[in-house]
Order: sequence, then structure tokens, then C-alpha cells
Amino acid sequence: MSEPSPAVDEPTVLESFQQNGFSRRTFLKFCAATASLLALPAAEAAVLAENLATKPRPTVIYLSFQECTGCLESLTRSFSPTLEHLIFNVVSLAYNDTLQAAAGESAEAAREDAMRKAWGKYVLVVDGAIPRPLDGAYCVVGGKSALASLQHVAEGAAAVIAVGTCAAFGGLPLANPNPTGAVAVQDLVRDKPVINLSGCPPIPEIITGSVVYLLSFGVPELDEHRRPKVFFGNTIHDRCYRRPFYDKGLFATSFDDEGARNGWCLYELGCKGPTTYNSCATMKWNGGTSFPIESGHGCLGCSEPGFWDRGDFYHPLSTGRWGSGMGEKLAVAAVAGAVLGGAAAVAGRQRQKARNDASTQHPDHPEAK
Amino acid sequence: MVTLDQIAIVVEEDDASNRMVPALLRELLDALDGFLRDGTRHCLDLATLPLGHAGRHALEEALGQGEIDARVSVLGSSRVRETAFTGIWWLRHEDDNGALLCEQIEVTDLPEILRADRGDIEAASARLAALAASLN
Repeated sequence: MSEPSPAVDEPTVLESFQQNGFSRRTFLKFCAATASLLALPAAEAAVLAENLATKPRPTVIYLSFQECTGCLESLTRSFSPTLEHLIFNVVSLAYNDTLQAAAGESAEAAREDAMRKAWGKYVLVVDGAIPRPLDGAYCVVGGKSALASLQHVAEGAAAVIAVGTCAAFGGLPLANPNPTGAVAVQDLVRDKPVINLSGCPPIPEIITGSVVYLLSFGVPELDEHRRPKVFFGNTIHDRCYRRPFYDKGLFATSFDDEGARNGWCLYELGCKGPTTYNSCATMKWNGGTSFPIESGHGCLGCSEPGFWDRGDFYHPLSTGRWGSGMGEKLAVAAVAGAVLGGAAAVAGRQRQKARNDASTQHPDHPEAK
Repeated sequence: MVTLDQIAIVVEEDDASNRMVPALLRELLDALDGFLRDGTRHCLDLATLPLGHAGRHALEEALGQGEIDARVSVLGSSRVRETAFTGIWWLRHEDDNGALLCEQIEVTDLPEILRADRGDIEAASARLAALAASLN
């Protein structure tokens, strides 16, 4: 891809830190924390700092379509890197209709101006799905359809980041019966690198970390759903602190039984952790405070394609349509665990490994049709 | 209600975590020799290592405390400690709320975060000149 960069006369990331009154020490700490977040090897962490010190800030245009603004709410709560550091020091945020002070025609004119100056080099961030029928008439902003806006702005982008499950996979707008004919960004943008940061919303540090990675190293290694493997390489279940209870066959069966009170596995209550790839169990939310399972509720599977249509959130995977028969296999492992204890733990892990090799492509996803 | 710390999860820190410590010490020894040989810096990110509490504690005990214990106030607080082995530093970065951002072990003569940057010195010079002028 063309390298995402620079608006005309943009300072480098390090210069931007310094212009805003921060020392090089601040910049180095920012880089160290970001490299750790991205699980970079030591050698690459030094390259991250070197690259950010010399690269101009890229222009970023953030478009919002069929969305609830939850993803942006999430982004504003990023602890490391913080959104403030991201938009003041790392990128040049040229357009975001919620965060920017400008409104109306002047905001649209500023976007056109930023696009012209950095044509072919800016990063486009998209939040929300896009309705396709009737020339996109179901979602119109400033007299222009989301469909037309996306096609126009994507044309000059170096890369496109789809933030949230709606932009990445269609999300709620695409859910049955999909009344507006919504599709995901990757269904419309075929000739640019598209990076999907799914989640409803995505973990804020995944958004900011991915932007920094893109700037420093280019497009990260992606999984089959175009998600960065560094954040979506493991299931919630793989890293869950309640996993030892699953392995022992100890499950909560209602939200107020002994198992729930003792913090046992939430599989029987519909937890979708075994088929959901995300970093909630390790990165957690709100600055590492906790994640849904830690608060006593199963994972909804919000970072997987088509999660709204995969059956009841409160029934075990084995009774839903979640994955290619994996639910049944997991159920067998769970029952076996109750009987066999430790032996089932091994079996469960083996099944889990087998599952990791299998695709969880959802049949409702447009790409699967 | 049962709180998290009351949930009876017994993490068995067998010694897999402890057994990492000798391997890490050998890596640090190689890195120290490498630095002496050609000035190559080395850095370990503790978050990327499968170290449990016991292993981490054992590593900290093995490396000990050296002559320098510095605190850097940027983006929250950072603590930079030289271990008992000169040239091996233990860095802990926290955010404004005291939450851990990352923890690293660096092998170098002076961690970069302690060094005063030339650009920052130039900016300081300008600020000092302005202050001096304002007092005339």
C-alpha cells in the first residue's frame, strides 16, 4: 500500500510532541507503552520509536455512518495511548463530525481540503455500516449518501480502518431482516487495504494501538476476517481466568446459583467466549479494570461476524448457531469435564486447538454468500 | 456476594514460571556481554513473558537493587531502577492513575528515558533566556 502519511508540512510525531510542550522522555514512554500493548518484540519496539520520531503525522479522516457512536465513545476512553495523544501528537485528525468544532458546510469543505492536500496518503477510519439500496438513500449526511461519501473518500485513502462490528461486518444494521440493505466497509472498498477492528464497541486501546501500528509499520498481520492477529489471535475462552472451572466441569447454571456465586464458568449461561476472538480477557476495559465475564456475565461474542443473528445470548453455544458445530463439541467437553475432571481438561484443550484451526465464518456474512 | 479475590482459583505456579528465571538470567548475561562487545542495547518486555507472580518475584530477587533508583514524571510516573548488576535496569511505567502501562528490563549504560534530549535542552535554553529577559 502507499504509506499512510503526511499532510503537507506536517511535523513528525516527535516534533508534534515537542511542539505541544512534551519532552522526548514523554515520547519515549508513549512508545514503550504502545509497543508493550502491541506485544512487539524488543527490537521492533525500538523501531517503533525510531519510525514515529521521523515520520510526519498522517492525515486521518473519520466518517460515521449507520452507527450509535458507541465506538467513538469507546475511543475517547483509551488509556494508552490516550485519544488526546493520538489526535494531538500522532495523527492529524482532519474530520470527525462528533469531535470537530466545525459544523455544516465549513466542516465538509475542510474535509475536501484535507483530502486534496493528502490525496493517496491519508488514513480513512469508518464507523458504522453502509446501506446500499436506492443509491444509499437510507443514510444521508450533508446531502450526500454514506455510500457516495465512502466511495469518494476511500478513493484517495492509503488504507481504511473499519472501527466496530457495524463497519467491519455490518453489525446491527445488517442483522436480520436488514431493512436498509446494510453492508460492511470491506464489501464496498475492494482496492485498498481494509483493517477490521471489530467489537461492539472495540476495546479502545485496540483502536489507538492499531492506528499507531499502521503509521509505524504499515498494515499489521490480519486474520481471515481482516482483524489484526495481535489483538484477535486468541479466543476470550483461551485467556479467561474462569477457564480452570470449565476444565474441571464446574459451571454456573443461573445468575444466582452457587456456581455463579463461586465464579464458575459461564458456558451454560450462554457465554460465547469459546468462539469469540478478542483481547477482552487480557487487555480488559476501562484501563484494565475488568471485562464482562469478570463482572459475572457471559461474553456476547460482539466481535464476531453476524453475532446479532446467532441465537439467544443466554443459551449455551451447543444450542445456538454459533460456529460450525463447535458448540456441540464444546458441550461434550463440558459434560465430560463434569464426569472426568482433569482428563476432560486435556480433551477440551485439544478440541479448542482444533477449533482454532477451523474457520468461524458466519453464513450470514456477505462475503460468505 | 463473593468478590474476585475470594473466588477459589488456585493458580499452581509450579515451577514452570520459576524455571524461566535461569533462562532469563542467561539472556541478560548474553545481552550484557553484547553491550560490552559492540554497544548493542537490549530490552525485555515483562508483559510478553509467561511469568507468574512467583517467577516475577524470583527474577526481581535475583537481580536485586543497585545504586540508582530514579523517578521520572512524564505521562504519569515511571520508576527506573538499576539492578545489582550494573548496566541492567528495571523500568516500570505507570499512567496518571498509577495503573501499570508496561514493565521492561533494559540492558544499556543509561536508559534513554533518563537522557536529556538535545532538542529539549534547546527548548529549555530558550525558556531560560526568556525568563532572564523578563527579570531585567
